[in-house]
Amino acid sequence: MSDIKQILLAEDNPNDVELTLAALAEHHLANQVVVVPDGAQALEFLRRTGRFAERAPGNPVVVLLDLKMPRVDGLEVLRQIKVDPGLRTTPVVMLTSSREEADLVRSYQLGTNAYVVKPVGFEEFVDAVKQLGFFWAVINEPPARVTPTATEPAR
Amino acid sequence: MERRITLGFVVALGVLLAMAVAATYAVRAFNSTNASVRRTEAVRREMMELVLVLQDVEIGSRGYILTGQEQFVEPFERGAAKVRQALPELRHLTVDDPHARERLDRMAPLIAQRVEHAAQGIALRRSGATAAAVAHVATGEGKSLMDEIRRLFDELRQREDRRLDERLAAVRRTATWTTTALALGLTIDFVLLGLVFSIARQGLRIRARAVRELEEARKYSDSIVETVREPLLILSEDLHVVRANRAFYRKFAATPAGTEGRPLRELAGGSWQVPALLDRLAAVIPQHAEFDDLEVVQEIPERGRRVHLLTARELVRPGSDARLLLLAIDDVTARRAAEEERDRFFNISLDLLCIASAADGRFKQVSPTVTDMLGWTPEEFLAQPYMDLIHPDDRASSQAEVERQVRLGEKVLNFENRFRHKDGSWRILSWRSVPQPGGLMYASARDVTEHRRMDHQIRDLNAELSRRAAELEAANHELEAFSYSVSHDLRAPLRHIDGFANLLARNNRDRLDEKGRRHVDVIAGAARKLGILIDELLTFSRMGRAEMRHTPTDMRALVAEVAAEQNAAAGDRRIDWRIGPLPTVAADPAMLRQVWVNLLGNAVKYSRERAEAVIAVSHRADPRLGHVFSVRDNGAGFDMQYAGKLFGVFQRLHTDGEFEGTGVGLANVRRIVQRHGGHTWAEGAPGVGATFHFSLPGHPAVNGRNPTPP
Repeated sequence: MSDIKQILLAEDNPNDVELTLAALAEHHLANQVVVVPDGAQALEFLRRTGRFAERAPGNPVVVLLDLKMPRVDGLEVLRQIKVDPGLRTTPVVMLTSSREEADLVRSYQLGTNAYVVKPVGFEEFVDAVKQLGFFWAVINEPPARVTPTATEPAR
Repeated sequence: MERRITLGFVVALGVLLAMAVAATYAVRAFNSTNASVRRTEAVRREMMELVLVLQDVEIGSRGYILTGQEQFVEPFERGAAKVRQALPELRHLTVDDPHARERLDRMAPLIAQRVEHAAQGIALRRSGATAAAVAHVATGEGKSLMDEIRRLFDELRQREDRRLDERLAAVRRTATWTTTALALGLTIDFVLLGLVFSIARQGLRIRARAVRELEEARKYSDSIVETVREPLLILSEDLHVVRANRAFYRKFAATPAGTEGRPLRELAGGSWQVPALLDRLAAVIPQHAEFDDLEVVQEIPERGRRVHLLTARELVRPGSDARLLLLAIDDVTARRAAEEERDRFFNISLDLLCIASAADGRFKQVSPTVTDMLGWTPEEFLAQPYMDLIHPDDRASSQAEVERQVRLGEKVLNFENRFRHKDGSWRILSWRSVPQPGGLMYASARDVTEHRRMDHQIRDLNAELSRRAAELEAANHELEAFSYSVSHDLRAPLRHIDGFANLLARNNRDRLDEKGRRHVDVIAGAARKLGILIDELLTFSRMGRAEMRHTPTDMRALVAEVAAEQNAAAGDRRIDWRIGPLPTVAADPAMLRQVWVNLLGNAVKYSRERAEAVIAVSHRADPRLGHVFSVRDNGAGFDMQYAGKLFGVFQRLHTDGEFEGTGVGLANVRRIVQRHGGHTWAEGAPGVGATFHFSLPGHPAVNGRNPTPP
């Protein structure tokens, strides 16, 4: 397992950020998380521009995108990632409150790798985040290498 | 012409007669003149002879006196006798001539004296007194007598000559006049006869032409009589058949032999023995009472009851004065039958049927429906000009329709106008009309007043409906935005409440006492509950708005699948599933799945107190509702008095303590079923169980599509 396996979390609501980080912390993944409060900064991070121009190269193992964000929303970030040859292979998980079918369909059309509705219950949320983080950050191999079959995540 | 010819002849005869009279007169005049001439000549001759005799007397006497010879006495004797004879003769000849008579009367004594004188001389000589005798002669008495006689004689002769001339002239005049008169008469007769001849010849020519024309006319009328399609009979005045035409023989299967010369009443097995008809026919010639279209019903052998229209005309037989009777027979049996049939239809029609005349603007005939439709009796209806019955605002358009029919011969289809009902109201009539010759229109009308009123209502309702649909669409949009907002913004704080309550509990496990931990649990539980409510509400809202996709859905497979899921969720409970045969229906499978999940889930949930739950799913076909599906359980059941609340949103018949739930599931079922055009209902009894039904339209036998629900 690689030492530097960054998770990019784009979330404007600090409560959700805190809860997500808490959930990830349960699985000791919180320290690898980069949090940006909007879509614009998410794109800057991914493209290593703006305030992230100086960061070390390399794409995050997974991008967790909130759907509704100020300025540039999650769907737009997703679209930009999936049309960027350098970013296209980066897994993206839409993490959202919306149960709207239209949002789900749109997300998959744009090429999201997963769509997770944030459960109201914290336990379920922790569960979902744990599985997500574990799968994408621990099990899943980035496409640059051999892609493993990800059917049986280890517990 | 005949008169002119007669007149000509009479005049010619008159002229001839006049000529005959004139000729007779002329001949008679001529004869009379001729007799006069002959008599005059006889008188002259006698007188000449008398003079000569007298000379013989003188010569005889003188000779004897002179000579004394007896031979001279004899002429004297003969002459004296002749004189005595001649005088009466002359008297007789001049009996009608008084003038001559008078001369003769004067001459007679003279002649007698002369003869006497001569006789005296002879006597003297004989006596011997020769000298005395000579002296007697020498006295000259004899000579003067003789001269006197001669003078008278000449006078008479001259006069007779003059008369002869006069008479001859008269005869010539008469002859000339007669000749002229005859010539003139002849000329006149010639001219007259010529004229008469010419007139007569012209008359003959005209008559010949008339005869020829008569013959042609007879042939002409014969060919018409023969070729005319109507049976015709020509009857004598005493109603015997003179002749019949070919159509008659054909129509009545008769032969000329059995028809001509026979009385009409004996024809066709006596079927013409109709007293009313025979009376009318008998009156035709004597009273000149011709008739037209006399309707007579006759029983013709082998042809049955026939209705005939009979027309009778008086005829004059060509070329004579004989009066004949022409009887034309028009068999209208079929027409009458058709008319009766038409009238029957006319009378039973629900539509108003009528015949109208554009010429005088009135209906000529109308079916009895008019009373039901417009209140008028047919008589009242026909008595009014139709324009008076039409609403003033519709008259111009109605007149245009009438003219379009009459002028252009076009039909009228579905023309509407308003007619006055007898009660004063206006009824909207929809017309169909077909123009007929002679400005007639055959029309039918239907009262569409109610239709139109309903049309108006429907239009109004449609407008209202469109307005409401637009409102609804707007409301839906709003709701969608609202749902979206709820979905995102309402759930986030709940998540935070729950999340932070959990973090609080975890991170301060040691510092919170039992009561504090319970409080945190309540906070988290309430938040979760609210989250579920919100989710279900959103689902419910989405079910109402989601687009439906009708596809053939195998209900049996779907129910089996959902039942298996529910069975698994129920753990080790004993559930007896009784799933009957279910059809394939056209529906939205995802939505129907939701229906079955709710219904079967409820059945499982509410029967969990039973040691063995029995859940039966069945289907039946209903002629009115279509497919009816039922889910029956032997669970807690419900009181029927609350049945109305079952399918309402957030309506619950049990507490959360008894059976957990949100009160949205059945509301969802109803909503989905209603969107498919079906109905939901339920029956149950507390402690016994409940049965939930829903219907889906469509014929069970047809695996086709259902009508799209609104």
